[in-house]
Amino acid sequence: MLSKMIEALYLKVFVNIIVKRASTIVYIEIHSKKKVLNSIHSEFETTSLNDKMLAFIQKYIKESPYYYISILDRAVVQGALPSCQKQKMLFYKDMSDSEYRCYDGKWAYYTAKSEMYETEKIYESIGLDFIFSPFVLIAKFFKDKIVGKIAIYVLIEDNYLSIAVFEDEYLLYAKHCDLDTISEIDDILLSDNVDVDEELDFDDSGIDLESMDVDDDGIELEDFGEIEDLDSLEDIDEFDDSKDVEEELLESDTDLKEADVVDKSNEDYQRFSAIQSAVADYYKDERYESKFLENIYIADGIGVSRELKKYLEEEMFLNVYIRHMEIDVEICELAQEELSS
Amino acid sequence: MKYSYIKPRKKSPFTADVQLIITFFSMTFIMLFTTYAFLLFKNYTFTQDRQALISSTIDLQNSIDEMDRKIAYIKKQKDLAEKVFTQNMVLKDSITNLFDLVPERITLSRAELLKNGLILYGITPSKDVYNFMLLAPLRSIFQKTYSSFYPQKNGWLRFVSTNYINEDDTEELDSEN
Amino acid sequence: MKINVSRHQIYVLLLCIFLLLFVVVFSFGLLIPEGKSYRIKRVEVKKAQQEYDKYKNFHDETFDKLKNLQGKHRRIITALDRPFSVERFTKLYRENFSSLKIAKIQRVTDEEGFSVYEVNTSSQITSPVNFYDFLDALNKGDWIIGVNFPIKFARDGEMIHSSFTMKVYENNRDKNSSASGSSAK
Repeated sequence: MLSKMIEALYLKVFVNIIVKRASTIVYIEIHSKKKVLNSIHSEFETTSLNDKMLAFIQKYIKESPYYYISILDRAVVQGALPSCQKQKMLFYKDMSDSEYRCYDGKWAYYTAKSEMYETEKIYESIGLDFIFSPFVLIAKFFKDKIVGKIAIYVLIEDNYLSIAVFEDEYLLYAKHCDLDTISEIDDILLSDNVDVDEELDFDDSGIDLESMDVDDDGIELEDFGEIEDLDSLEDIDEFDDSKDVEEELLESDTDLKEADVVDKSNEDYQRFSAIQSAVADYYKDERYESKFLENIYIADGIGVSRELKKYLEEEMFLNVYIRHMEIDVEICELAQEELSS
Repeated sequence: MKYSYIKPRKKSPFTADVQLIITFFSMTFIMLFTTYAFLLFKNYTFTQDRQALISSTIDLQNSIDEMDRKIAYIKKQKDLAEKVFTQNMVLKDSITNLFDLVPERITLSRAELLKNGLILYGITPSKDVYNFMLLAPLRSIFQKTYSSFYPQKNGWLRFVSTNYINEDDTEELDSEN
Repeated sequence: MKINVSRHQIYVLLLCIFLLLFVVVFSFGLLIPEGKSYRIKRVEVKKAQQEYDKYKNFHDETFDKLKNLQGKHRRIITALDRPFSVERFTKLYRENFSSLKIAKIQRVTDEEGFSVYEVNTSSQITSPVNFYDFLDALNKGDWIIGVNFPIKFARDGEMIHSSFTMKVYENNRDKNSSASGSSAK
């Protein structure tokens, strides 16, 4: 009782650390009991903890003894499994080296113990209070969508990709990719993808030039011309009209920078490949309940180009919905929710 | 924990500096309270001791008074006893003097010693013997002297000598005694 | 340049100030008066102790004095305490006389706070020397007795018939007497 009263007298400081490819973003929010007093954004040239970052964080955690340091788990070996029961989990993976937690009793997210300890060690001078899994982030961010029909959900970070398949709030499949290691597997997967496309696309059966040309023209050139196609697209987009607006804004932003577009499109292609291979795994792997996937929701943490959407729509025939996500703000909200529970 | 892999650390407003302050003040308070308790205790014992000493002093005082009374009384007793002894001695001397006074030729048959006088009964051969040998010395001692004679068959005289000392002199004699 | 002070620091500062105030108030309000009282009382006890020691010394001196006197005048004290007994008197002084007879005893006026009993005595002696010896023995006797006038001597053949009055002095045992009783302890 007394401790609750004392706690109410103090500010709360939330420090959120998101590690990118070559830098770290530190986002700090200072809360009074009722509202946010201050929020500070800062980026540091390190993937662990350098002096500047340490000084920066220490400056703010001095404000109050009630400070909470959260980090987004950047372990290479991490993911999620469709079940929360130990026996069933063993079916998918050996859990002896992993730390896992249940989400709502429906599915579990895990990470490698050694990598978790290593993370704690890197930040031991300031200490860590929360380590969040990207899959939890996905589940929370798309909480309105995952209750519905089956779809792919992707969280795009600077160098990581977290892919999950949800239906009716249940996780069916999840994969966490490191972009640096993806490029090696690209070539192999592409060949597999072609086979998959051939299976699905009953219309594109042969190497009939004439038919192909006709079909290609139909799809590529007549995007704006054929109102029927546009209508079909609109039918599918019945859930979230507001998200279409975001998409359009995204397209306008990404069109401006041409130089970046080239780099981004390269990265985006890598991302697309990763998603493609993950989906392929999902379909191939007998352990996972494979269902037909039509929609993909992307939580864009960095700002992807139009190319990714194009790739996904054209190559995989998915309905793509991109939502921009401020990863640091989301992590902060997670931390607050964690405290209040 | 709902979402996080790890539990947050315990947050307490009692940071290291606060703990230091509290420790310092606690020690100070302990010392202050100890001193205060000590002073209270000592004050209480002082009050008790003083009371005890005062009452003891009063008892001593009473005892001294008592002893002084006893001493005075003993002195009184001693004075009385000495007075009595002296009185007896003086009496003895008086009687001795009296019987020394009487010459050989006069025989006393009876003597009455009074406070302020002396009455002698006796036999004397002649008046002269009585007058010279007894009356003269008696006169030197006593102021009033009466003598009466009664002749006897054998020629000797029986006398009765009544001697008194004056009132004023009686007082002097009394005071001497 | 604005110095940024965190809430925590303010709270800690307030805590310090509060504790300090408490210390100051406690010290000046309670501790120091108690300390003063301590010093005063210590002096008082010392004085009382000195007074007591003085009285104790005086008491011891007086006690010694009393004991001395009691020892020195033991005979007188016991004599004055001893009630007069005709049988004992007769027995003691018989030898001084050929015959001794005590007449009645009566109480007369107190002298100097002591009760006085008059005893009429008649006796027979062979010579006045017996009387002198009697008087000497009386002074050394068990009672404080004074022989008083009138003293009568009468020749009776070979004997001298003597009669006299004795005053026996004793401690006054009346409650409303001025003199207090003594005891040869």
